[in-house]
Amino acid sequence: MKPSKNLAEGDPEAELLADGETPASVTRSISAIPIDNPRPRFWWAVFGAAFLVVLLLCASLGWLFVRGVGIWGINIPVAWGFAIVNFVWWIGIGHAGTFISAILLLLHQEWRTSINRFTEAMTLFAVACAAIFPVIHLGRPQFLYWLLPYPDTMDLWPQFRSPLVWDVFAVSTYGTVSLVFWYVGLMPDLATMRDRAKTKGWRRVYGLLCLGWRGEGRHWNHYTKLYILLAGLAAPLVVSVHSIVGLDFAIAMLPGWHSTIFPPYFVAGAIYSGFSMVLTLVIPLRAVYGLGNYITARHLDLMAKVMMAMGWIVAYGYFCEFFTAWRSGDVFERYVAANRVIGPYAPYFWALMICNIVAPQFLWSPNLRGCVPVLFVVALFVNVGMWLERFVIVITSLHRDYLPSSWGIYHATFWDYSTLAGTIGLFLALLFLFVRFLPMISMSEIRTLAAKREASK
Amino acid sequence: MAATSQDPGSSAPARWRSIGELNGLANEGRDGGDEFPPGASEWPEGLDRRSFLKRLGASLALGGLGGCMRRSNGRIVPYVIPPENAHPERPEYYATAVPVEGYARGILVESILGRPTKIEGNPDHPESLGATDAATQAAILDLYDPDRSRVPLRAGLTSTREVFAAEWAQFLSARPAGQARIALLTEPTTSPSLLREVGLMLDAFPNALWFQHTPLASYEVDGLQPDYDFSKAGVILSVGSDCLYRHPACVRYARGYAAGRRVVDGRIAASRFYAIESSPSVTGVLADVRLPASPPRMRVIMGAIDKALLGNSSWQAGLGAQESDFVGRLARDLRANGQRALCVAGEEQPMDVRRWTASLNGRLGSEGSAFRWLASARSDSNQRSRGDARALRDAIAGGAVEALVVLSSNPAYTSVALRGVIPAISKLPFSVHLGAYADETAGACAWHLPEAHFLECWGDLRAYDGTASVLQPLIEPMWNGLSALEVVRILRSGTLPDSYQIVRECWRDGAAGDFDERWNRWVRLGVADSRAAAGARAPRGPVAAPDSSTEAPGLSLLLAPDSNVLDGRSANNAWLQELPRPLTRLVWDNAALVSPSLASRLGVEDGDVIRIAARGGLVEAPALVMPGQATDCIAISIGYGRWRAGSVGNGVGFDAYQVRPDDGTWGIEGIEVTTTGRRHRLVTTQHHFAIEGRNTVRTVDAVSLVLPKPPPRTSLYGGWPRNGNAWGMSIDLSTCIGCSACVLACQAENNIPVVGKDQVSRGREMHWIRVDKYFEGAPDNPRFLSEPVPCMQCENAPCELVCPVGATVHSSEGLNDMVYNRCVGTRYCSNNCPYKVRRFNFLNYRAPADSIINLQKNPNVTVRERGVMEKCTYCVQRINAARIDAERENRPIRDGEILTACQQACPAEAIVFGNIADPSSRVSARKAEPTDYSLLEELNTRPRTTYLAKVLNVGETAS
Repeated sequence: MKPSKNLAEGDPEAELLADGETPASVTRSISAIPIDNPRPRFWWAVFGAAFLVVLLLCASLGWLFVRGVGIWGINIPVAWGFAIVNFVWWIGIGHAGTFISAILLLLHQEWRTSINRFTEAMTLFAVACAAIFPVIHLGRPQFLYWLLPYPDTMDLWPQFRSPLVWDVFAVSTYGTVSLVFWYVGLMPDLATMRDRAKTKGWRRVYGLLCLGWRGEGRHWNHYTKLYILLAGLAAPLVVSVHSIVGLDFAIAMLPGWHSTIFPPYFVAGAIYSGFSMVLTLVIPLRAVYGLGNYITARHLDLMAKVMMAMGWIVAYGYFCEFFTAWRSGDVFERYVAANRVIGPYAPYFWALMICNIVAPQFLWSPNLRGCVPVLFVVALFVNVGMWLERFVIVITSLHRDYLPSSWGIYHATFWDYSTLAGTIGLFLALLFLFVRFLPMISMSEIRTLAAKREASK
Repeated sequence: MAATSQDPGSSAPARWRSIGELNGLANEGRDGGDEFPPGASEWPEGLDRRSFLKRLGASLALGGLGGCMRRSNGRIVPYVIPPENAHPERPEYYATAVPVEGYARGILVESILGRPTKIEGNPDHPESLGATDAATQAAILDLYDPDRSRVPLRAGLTSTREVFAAEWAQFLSARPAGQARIALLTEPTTSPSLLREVGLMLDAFPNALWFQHTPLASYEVDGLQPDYDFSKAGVILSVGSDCLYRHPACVRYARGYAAGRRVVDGRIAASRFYAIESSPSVTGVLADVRLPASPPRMRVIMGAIDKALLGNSSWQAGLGAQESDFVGRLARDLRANGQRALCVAGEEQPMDVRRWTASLNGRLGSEGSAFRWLASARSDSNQRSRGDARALRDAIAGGAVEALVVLSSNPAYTSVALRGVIPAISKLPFSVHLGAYADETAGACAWHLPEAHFLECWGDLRAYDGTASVLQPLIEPMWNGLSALEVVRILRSGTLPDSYQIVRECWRDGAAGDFDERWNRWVRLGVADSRAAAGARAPRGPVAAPDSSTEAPGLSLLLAPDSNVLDGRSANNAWLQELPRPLTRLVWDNAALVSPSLASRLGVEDGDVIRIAARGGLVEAPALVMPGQATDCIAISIGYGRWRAGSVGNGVGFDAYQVRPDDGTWGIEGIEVTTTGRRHRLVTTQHHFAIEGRNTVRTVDAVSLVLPKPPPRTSLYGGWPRNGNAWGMSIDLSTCIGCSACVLACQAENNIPVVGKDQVSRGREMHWIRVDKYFEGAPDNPRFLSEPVPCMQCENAPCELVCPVGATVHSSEGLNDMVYNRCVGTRYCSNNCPYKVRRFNFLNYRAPADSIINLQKNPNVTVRERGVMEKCTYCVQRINAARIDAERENRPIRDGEILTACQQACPAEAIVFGNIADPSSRVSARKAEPTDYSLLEELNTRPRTTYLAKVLNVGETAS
């Protein structure tokens, strides 16, 4: 690891790849991870643990389908609980990937190359985890397809004024485009893997997956165009999907939800949580697999800065909510705002403030920012904070709305927690499968970087 | 039984025709009707293969006999050839009456394809006037209670009626004719037939003794019943009375009270209501001026009232500021109103208080107008009765009883006196209990006979005002139950009687002319020709104010019948258990109510179990802080902690009979209260009772009647079209007494499930209409506000916007329809409903497909499945039924043709439903009143359900 003081000086691009890395060394060391599995015990330990939690998820979902959503803590008035909190949280995490890949690509931010593959994979798995929740939170999940516009014999269509229908389109589009984008970016590397695979079986598998990539100039020509086009397509989706998730709440007339700032505030929050999750995952993996040459201190520093910037937008969102509540003079809005701060869920609110607003302020100092353990802890805090934020939005708004007679309280049950834990397990299990079988850093893009530097010398 | 046919030493015949014959008991010459009583299929343990096969064969052979089951009286039969224009899908209504503590309340019972499904009030009956109270609505559920006793039990084992009759004959034959020392225990009753049968029984057995027991208070004062006409009252004083809620005449009283609180054409001549009580009651909290006082303090205040009315200037001595203000205003108003001053005392008050309160009416001049005396309709002071449960206990202890017959009563639980002699009862040569459940008393008696529900048998009852009704059965007894009438007849004559004939015999007596014609009319109307006791005037001298010299410091305990399960008789009724108690909103429990200041003094919170020691008795119960409770008084309701109530009622709540004095008094002074450190989970449906400065329940002053009107709202989209029918509802908070009859009426009509204490604790109760309760003002004596909240049927419905599948949509007539079939269960509609009136099936709340409960279900309302949202529909099935009728007759739907279930049940006529597009409809008139307002008007949801503000007539302070 390089000392942080170096970051401020010299050519910043130089810091994106360690000295001495050549295209050949890049390919060798990155492809070695899937091929040789250099840390089998670590891998098995984490994957095994995650897999056990996946089994817990299966049990939770099984019991859910047997008994119904009543196994959770939801009630009237708090008819949405962990399922929606988790959904928004996961979707938010799924944001960083496409933001890093598409928007930073379009903005020619080359530092994205070391992390884009990994974050895109993270996006996919986060979206997969998120997509579970809208399905299972339905009272009658067997009729999920009624939310889709299909030619029904009774001429019934979804009710298009409902933001939940928009959600279906937004999330499914986002998931699809993210998958295609990730897969297209993976193709040259899959070909590399085919060439380097040790067994005939793996050669076949990688060979099939890379769709006959031979590295011809024509391939590269088409590939680059497609990749940029897809990036252009994905960029607005980054904004749209979480805006619509924000509208899920903003459309409602519930105090605490009914707020025009929600779409941008949700997008910022999503990127915030996405970057924190990238940091949470990259820091240990980088250490274990010795990827410091590719994911350098400079990368971590840049990510920390983006995270901080997003954190401030989110803080502005919080401020706006309270300001609007006060400025509106509306008794209900004001009550919800006050109730967040001093009501029964005040501990959640204050924990949220500590996690999302106080914790990132440590990153102002370049020294602290450069200290990887501190960065890791701050990222963890932000992850928790972003979950708490959704909890506060969903639960505190619902539990005390207009009529005091119908005020209630929400207590999560074991099954709420087990489902949340289960999706975290699923996410980790998928991620470790990815790390095990696919190159987690884009070899072709890093090679370009290495080659460019060689050429410039 | 298992070994009988194999045992060579047995005297049983080798071939047998019936179980009775097999057991060596004569079959009484009856056909095989009861060969296989319900429950007989539960074979004894240890049945081996051979005897099993034998019985299998016998069963097959006897199956033919079983097919010849005698269909009782042959009067309830399905149509073989349906008459022309018969509509089996359309409900039929039959008039009968529901027993309310022995008195009648006239009802019409809806029967669909032979199943009674819903109870409505009988407009022709003076104690119903077409409405009901909550308990009457719940009575239908008892009929289908799976826990109801189904078969005679002998020492807890299945037996038959024939064996019972044989044993009884054996018991009698062992004694000289007519000399059997029989003790008959009934509840006080108004039934002329039952009284006649009991009389005949006492004639036939000169040594027989008749006792009457009820744990509840008698309505008589010195042998007469006080009766009130609230509509004629200008000033009302209630002394611990809950007569608008729990009284045989409560529906009539509520109707009368409402008349004095209703704004009509922008005007009101409001009555002013004063109440003094120790624990808040449904009636007391309606008062414009309410004074909480512990029972001994109440006596002091009554003394002051007495003095003030007599013009004694020293009345203020010893009173606090609040008290003297109350007494001063009250005395001023009572004197000013004279004939229109009505004084009412609760039945649980000591007799001197009741006597004094009643006498005030005579003194003030309202006797004969707002107040009258009625001859007693119930047998409380019947000459032939030998006393209450204490007398029975003494008789048993003194060996004066050989056979005990307990009819439709559960004294082993409800009588403190008899609880002590249960072992002695079990040792009697003969004891039998007739009851709907194999309850505590069934466990104490050798025999238990299942009792027929009142919808299963013929009978008769008198209402509080003396009006007699004939009860007719709606259905064949489901479990072969007997009525008390029939059991008394069996005991007397040994023959299987026919309750139809017994009742007819009673009414034919001395009747001249065409009896059948009259009988048919009585049965059809539900009201018999007046053989009512005429009004009586009590000759009485001046009555002194209750003696207050014994006021002792310290805490007092006030016992009370429970607002839902009464004395415990309805403990197994799940609707009543889950119906929030009117003021505490507590479900599935009773609790010791403590005032906020006492709670802080004792250091207890809701759910802390406290131990109350009173006169040697001891009860532990969780505390519940009750604003408005008298400071030095703890109140707890009886009727809980039952151990043989059934699967619903067992172990629910705490048994306050443990501290009940056996003389039946309700108040105990000088109690000891200690905390136990334990906690009990109390579950309420409402958790927050402060109104938080929100304008949800509005009040207006009776003098000004001014309600600030919001500016009219404009919209780019215009309003919802109001051509044709536009359904709307108006709920009058001024007349609503908060009795919850609407809640249970809705539950019965709309197949609303019961979810149980645990689910309610998670906030998942399913009632479509709820009665919100708010406290306003100081916790020691707040103003109680109640507000029924059904679906508002908003024109700008927030729920419709957010449903992704269009499962909740607007109808052309302005209903916010819920399409259960289309609902996928996102619950977004509920989140977006500012009134939170939507209910979700979080789990499968339906009864199992083979449950007998399903027979109660209304076939015109979908039974909702798991994962589906539901809510009030304005009883759309009733709207559609009326629409079909109207279209067939080619006319518009008439105003008042559709009554929603809540509206129909409401005793105060607080709910009016109808077409708001028709300016002449009742609902339009109500909505045109100056006190009309919409709940959460500022949200612009434009609710079709609006409210009339509560009118307060507080008046000026005494100074």
